[in-house]
Amino acid sequence: MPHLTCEKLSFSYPESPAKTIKEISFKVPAGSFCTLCGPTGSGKSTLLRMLKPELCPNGTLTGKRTIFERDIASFAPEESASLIGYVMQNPVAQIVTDSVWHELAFGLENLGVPTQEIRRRVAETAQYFGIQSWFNKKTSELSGGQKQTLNLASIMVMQPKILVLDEPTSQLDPIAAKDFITLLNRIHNELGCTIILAEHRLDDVLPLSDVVLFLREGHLDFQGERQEFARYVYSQAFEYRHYLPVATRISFMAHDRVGKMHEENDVALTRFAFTVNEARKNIETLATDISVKQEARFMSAQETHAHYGTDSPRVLEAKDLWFRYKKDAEPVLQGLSLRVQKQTIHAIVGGNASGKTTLLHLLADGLKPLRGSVKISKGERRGLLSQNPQTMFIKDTVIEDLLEVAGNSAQAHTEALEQLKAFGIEHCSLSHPYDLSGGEMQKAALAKLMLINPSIVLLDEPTKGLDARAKQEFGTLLLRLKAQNKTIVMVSHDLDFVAQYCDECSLIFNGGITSSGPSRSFFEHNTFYTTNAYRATRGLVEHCVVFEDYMRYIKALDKSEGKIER
Amino acid sequence: MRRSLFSLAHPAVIFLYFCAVIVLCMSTLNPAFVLLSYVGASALAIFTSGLRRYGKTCLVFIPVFLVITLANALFNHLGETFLFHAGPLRLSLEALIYGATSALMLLSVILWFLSYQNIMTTDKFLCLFGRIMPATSLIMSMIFRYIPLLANRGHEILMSQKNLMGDVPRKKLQSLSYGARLSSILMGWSLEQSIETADSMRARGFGSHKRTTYTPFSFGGFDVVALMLLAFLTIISLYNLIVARADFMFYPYFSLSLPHALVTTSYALLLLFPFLVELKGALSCRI
Repeated sequence: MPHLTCEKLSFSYPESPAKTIKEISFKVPAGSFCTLCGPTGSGKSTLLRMLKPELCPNGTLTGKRTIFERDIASFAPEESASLIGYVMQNPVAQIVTDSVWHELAFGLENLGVPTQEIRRRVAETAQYFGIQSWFNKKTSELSGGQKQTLNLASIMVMQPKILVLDEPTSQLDPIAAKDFITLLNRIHNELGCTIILAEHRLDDVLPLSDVVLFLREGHLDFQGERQEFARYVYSQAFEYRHYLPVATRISFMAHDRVGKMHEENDVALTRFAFTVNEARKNIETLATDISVKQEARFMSAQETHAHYGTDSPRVLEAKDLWFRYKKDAEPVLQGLSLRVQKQTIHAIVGGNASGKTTLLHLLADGLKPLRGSVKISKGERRGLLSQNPQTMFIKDTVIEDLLEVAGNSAQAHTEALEQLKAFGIEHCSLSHPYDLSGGEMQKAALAKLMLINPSIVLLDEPTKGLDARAKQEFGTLLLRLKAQNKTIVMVSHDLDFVAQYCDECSLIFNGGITSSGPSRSFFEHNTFYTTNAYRATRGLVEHCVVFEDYMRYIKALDKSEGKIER
Repeated sequence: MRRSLFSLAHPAVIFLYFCAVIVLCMSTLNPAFVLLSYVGASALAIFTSGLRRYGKTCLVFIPVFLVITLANALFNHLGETFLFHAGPLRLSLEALIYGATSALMLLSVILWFLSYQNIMTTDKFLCLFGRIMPATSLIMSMIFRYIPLLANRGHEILMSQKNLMGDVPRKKLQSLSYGARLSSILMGWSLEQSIETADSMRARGFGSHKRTTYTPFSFGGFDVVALMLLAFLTIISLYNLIVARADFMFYPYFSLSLPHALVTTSYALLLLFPFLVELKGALSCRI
């Protein structure tokens, strides 16, 4: 029985001629796990909001949308509140009250549920979500992952039949994001709740999905089961391949290769991989001949060796740093030392609350260390971009904001415009900074920062919440800055991004840097804290840290096969 | 801060206890009672906030105590037992004792409030008065959520802007405009984020129904007994207050009439009520 049905649904915002959602029809069966994906700006959020009457944006809506064969707009607020749960992106902004228990009770209080009933439901929900240990805490003391778990729990306490989530993990670090998805899976499996999830980080989500909806520029380009989705992207939407999990992309390449060997290779019969484990099996089937494999491994390993970093002079050095926020608090940093080489991209990685951001602020001279020192080479200037680019903007348009730093002369104006152009966001110059998408806002903030002409750029989680494409653009931008003789230090959770673009990588743990080195060897030495591509190829292909390395191996396979045939 | 068993009692019990001890403390100047109250307040303060913090507080108390005592002794000439006589300056024993007693009373009230703050947290207060003023209690809760949130955001903005615009200027006017700049960013950012908070409230049915108020505290059998016991002790002590007050005077001659033993005991038991709870807990643990 279909649970949620949309028929010829269209939507346009007021004063905008173009439709944001264009004649979409789909059905979501009861109890399914539905993933809605698509590039930024394709209308995912608008579509999700239309499923919840209170959040439906103002504008012209045509077509039918029903839940249990009732029109969604006909639901009274209290019915909707207990039937459709809605979790949003930002873990912080969704929290309403000061304490965890109050947050859990908030929805039930709104519905006028009697105190005894609230007590029972809050207790069992807290139990189910593992909240007991922090039930009595203040919401401001929670970590990002805990905050989002709380948001989910305070929706689930109202026992909704449908759970709608709009990119709930985009602001979380990968471990917290995985935990959150695991929790969703539990809710789905154990409670039979229908889940509709918009996501762009598909690695963890696709293996769980029954239904995939693919939205592009307001059109529903695909709906169906996940294997079909992989086939669809494989054969029709090539440009969206990089949105897919690394495992799936690996199996695409395997399919390509097998196709060359056997003429009758039907896409419709192939089962593509979604998990690292499946991908590993796929890699093993790539070639049967052991000598071909060995030759290819050798060849690709030799090629990648050229990519290791070299020594260059230091520009930034931290020596024996100690830091604590409060007088009696445990020091966050305990004798940390770090060296950053000139004209490199240096990544600092590590778990939540390990002191990464603190270290960055110390390096930027924003905080003073308890002990130890931070030294920079003569003539270098530091610029810091904080985790939230909103902290950078003050004016009503992007260009005004840039001019505020550049000065108000005609020359400054052209300089600012050129900067925007160089960052690929000149079309945003007259928009309000808050109206930009995550990727654009990040770039605008960096553009503003670059106007003070720093030679060392410090970035705090610059890829947080960006989709695959925005990340790629941002990475390219970083490489260009590096080519312009800038040194970049970035704090990040995004290991795939770090592996792809960074030269050096340092792991911060327990208040110090525990390992530091060229990012390639860094990732190759780790088993858990490494990229998906490396996990999938570990022991099968050498030095394969990012997907591009894997492609190199495939080429090497072709070559070595040719050699042996000859 | 140590978590006492008493702090786990229902907020009504805690609130009544503090009301009783503070009101009783303020309404008698019998040195015996004042001293008793001070000892009780000290014991609870040490228990809830630790010896170190208590010691620091007492360091501040000493000059206050001396100033009040001496001021009364120097400017009050009602006593008849002179200790010291020099020209217009007369120092009587009665005035000295009166000053010391009133200073001690003031200090014990402060100590009681210190413990009150440690035990009666805002959520307990709201639990008690949330039913009477449900809207206010929700707003309070939201405000308490916003204070640390704004502080965090403010810190992040400061870090970001310091880097972009240089340090906070020394000159007053410039530093004012710098501050205005920071708060303008804070306002903009917070307003933008609060749209999502509002959405989150609406998504959870805010305004769809008459709200109920939930508190995590339940009123159990222990609380009934404790409340009754507290009420009983308070009434005896109050009675004593009214009756014994007449028997006792500072001026013209100081006469220390000790109150009735039973009454004193009940007052002491009232003051040490949190420790009785603790003792009961310790005893039941041992079994």
